[in-house]
Parts: sequence; structure tokens; C-alpha cells
Amino acid sequence: MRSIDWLEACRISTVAGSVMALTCLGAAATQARARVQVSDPRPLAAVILELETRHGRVVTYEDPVRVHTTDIADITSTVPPARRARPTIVIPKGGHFTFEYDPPSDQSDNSTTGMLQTLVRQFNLTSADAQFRVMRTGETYHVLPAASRDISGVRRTSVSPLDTIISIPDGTRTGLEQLWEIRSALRESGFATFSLGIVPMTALRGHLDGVVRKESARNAIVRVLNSSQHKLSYAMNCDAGPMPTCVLNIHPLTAPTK
Amino acid sequence: MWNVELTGANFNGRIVQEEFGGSVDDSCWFPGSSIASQAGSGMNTQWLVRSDNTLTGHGPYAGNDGDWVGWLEDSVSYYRGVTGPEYRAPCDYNLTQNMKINRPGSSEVVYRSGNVLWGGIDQFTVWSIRAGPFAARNW
Repeated sequence: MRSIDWLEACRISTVAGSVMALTCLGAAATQARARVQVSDPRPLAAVILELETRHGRVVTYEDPVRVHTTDIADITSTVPPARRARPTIVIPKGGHFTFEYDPPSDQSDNSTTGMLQTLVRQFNLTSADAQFRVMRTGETYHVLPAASRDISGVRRTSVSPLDTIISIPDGTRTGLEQLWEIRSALRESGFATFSLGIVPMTALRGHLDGVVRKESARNAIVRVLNSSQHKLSYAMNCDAGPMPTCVLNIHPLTAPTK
Repeated sequence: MWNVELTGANFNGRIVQEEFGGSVDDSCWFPGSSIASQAGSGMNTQWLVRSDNTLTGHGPYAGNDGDWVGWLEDSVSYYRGVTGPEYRAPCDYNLTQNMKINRPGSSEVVYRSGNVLWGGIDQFTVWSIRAGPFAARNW
């Protein structure tokens, strides 16, 4: 009952899909606490999307590989037989996650870093599934997989496809053309089904110097995003199961700011 | 990509901007899909009206001479189940778009409200609709 009382003291707004955002003022609290509550196959990604909207900072997300039976959900029965391309259809199991935090007092890097480290720490404590870490390149913050369970349930260090070191020849390209080059480089490096998903094509028509010399695919992607006159972020989602298809989705945070 | 031409008068030099019309539905997306929903793809492109009343990308949108409606090829493959976990096609998405134009010395005005942008995937074709006109191709 206590939790209900507390919830009633909060301002509740449905943000999108399964995300419920609550801004709470506890009865005895002097500082507003913020809260994001999600139920999603990728709960951490859902929270990050909400934090980007609230605080206007680019925070990217990369999925771990999920193969252990307790980390994946079989949704075959929910798909009409005529639509099944495979005998079994699995997605990340995910679940509920609630992030409570003190909103950053300002737009400083320390405040943002602190908020994200708190997020990852809270998530890792509650997650029996994957573990994550925070990294920063320039103005872009990344939440990256640190570990996930293998097929036998043993937690192993997790490496993202975007850690792959790639090279791309010289050439002036649009942002979209450069993303196709990065995709090709990753496919040639062993990620045979790495794909581009939803991309704001009109925001990626500006040109950039496309050469990449032995850099991580992540850095190459960040350079594409930074070449745009829009504030762009990405989420790289991976299917569940061994040798998953990983998909790069790019989304705008706001209208043009530069 | 759809090329857009204004009619009714000469609007040379005016700025046209799109905005989300308030409705979106993506039947291809499912919870857990690695492809994000079209709902988050954004919509705020600006165009400059050329002397022949066609639109060309303006400012940060330079290089966009039209309006994109549809999917990248990887998404088509994914939803057909070639590389992905689930066979979704045939499926589609549609969203609404409002179009605004500036008026020198006055406020901008919405000149078209509720344009339907509609993109779909069948087993052997992809198709696109923008405010009425339809195009399809084998893919």
C-alpha cells in the first residue's frame, strides 16, 4: 500500500509504449527525484531513450549477445504459422526496470556521466542477464555491453560488433553512404548480417571525408553522426541467439541545433 | 524518394517544412524487433522552393531534393525473415505529415494537413505512397 501512496504523490505521464515516466516529490524530500519505469525486451535501451529526451544528451546503446535460455523469450506461439520463417522465434527476454535518480543539476559532463554511471550500476545490480558499462567519446556517451551469459550460463566478457577495427578507403560521401561503407566493413569482418535499420535519411545527406584508418566502427559511426547538422543518436539492437543479426538504428534527438 | 512540386502560384524562394501530423502505425515492428519502430524516425525536413516550384533541401537538409517514404533494404530483408527472427511481411507503416510554408512578412501557414506517408513490404515487392500517388517495384 505504501508504494501506491507514493505513486499517487507522483506526476505520471505515459511517454511512449511501455515507458512510464514519473516525476516524484516525496513527502519528506527536499529535492525532486526522477524516475523512469519500463517494461521492455531491452529495458536499459528504453530507459536511455527516455533520458535522452529528458536531458538532451546523446547516449547510445549497444545490445549484448544473448544466448542463454533464461535470457531469451520464445514468442513463436504469438506468431501466426504462415508468418514463421523459422521454427522458433526468440527475442531478448527483458523485463521490468525502474531507474530512480537525482536529475543532473546542470548540463555538465560530470553530471551526465554521474547519472549514467548510476543507471548502469543500478541495472547491473538487478540484472541476472547482461552487464553494461559507460564510455564516452567526445560529446557522445555510450552504454556498452560488458558481459553476458554464454549458452551454459557462465558470465563472459561481452564484445560489441562496434568494437571491431575497420578501415574504409578515401572518399567524400554523404552520411548515409558512409553508413553503408561501415556496414560493408563490418560484414567483411565477420558480422555477415550486420544491418542498417531505421535511419533519418534527410539528416544524413551532408558530406564528410569518409576515410577510416584502423578505427573502431563505433568511432566511425560517431563521426557520421557528428557530421550531421542534427543531434543524432543510435541504438544497436541484436536478435537473441548465437550469431545474431545486429541492427544499427539512428534517431534524432531534436530539431537542428547547429 | 518522392519529388514534390507545388501548384497554384509561383512560390519561388519560399521555405517549406514538414511536421509530424500526429498519427503513426508500424505493423512491421513487434516488441523485441531489432529494427526500431518508424515512430521514432523524426520528421522536420526543410526545403527551398525552386523557380519551377519543385523542392530542394534547405540549410541542414541540403542534398534532399525530395521526400523519403519507405524502408532501407536491410529492413525489408529483416521483416521478410531472410536475416531476422520473424517473418512479418506483408506489413506496412503509415504516418501523417503536415506541410507548412513561410509567408514573407507574416507567419508561416500549414498548406496541407494530414498527408499520408505509407510504405509497405510484400513477399516480392516494396511499395510507397505519398499523399495519394502510389509506386511499387520488385525487390
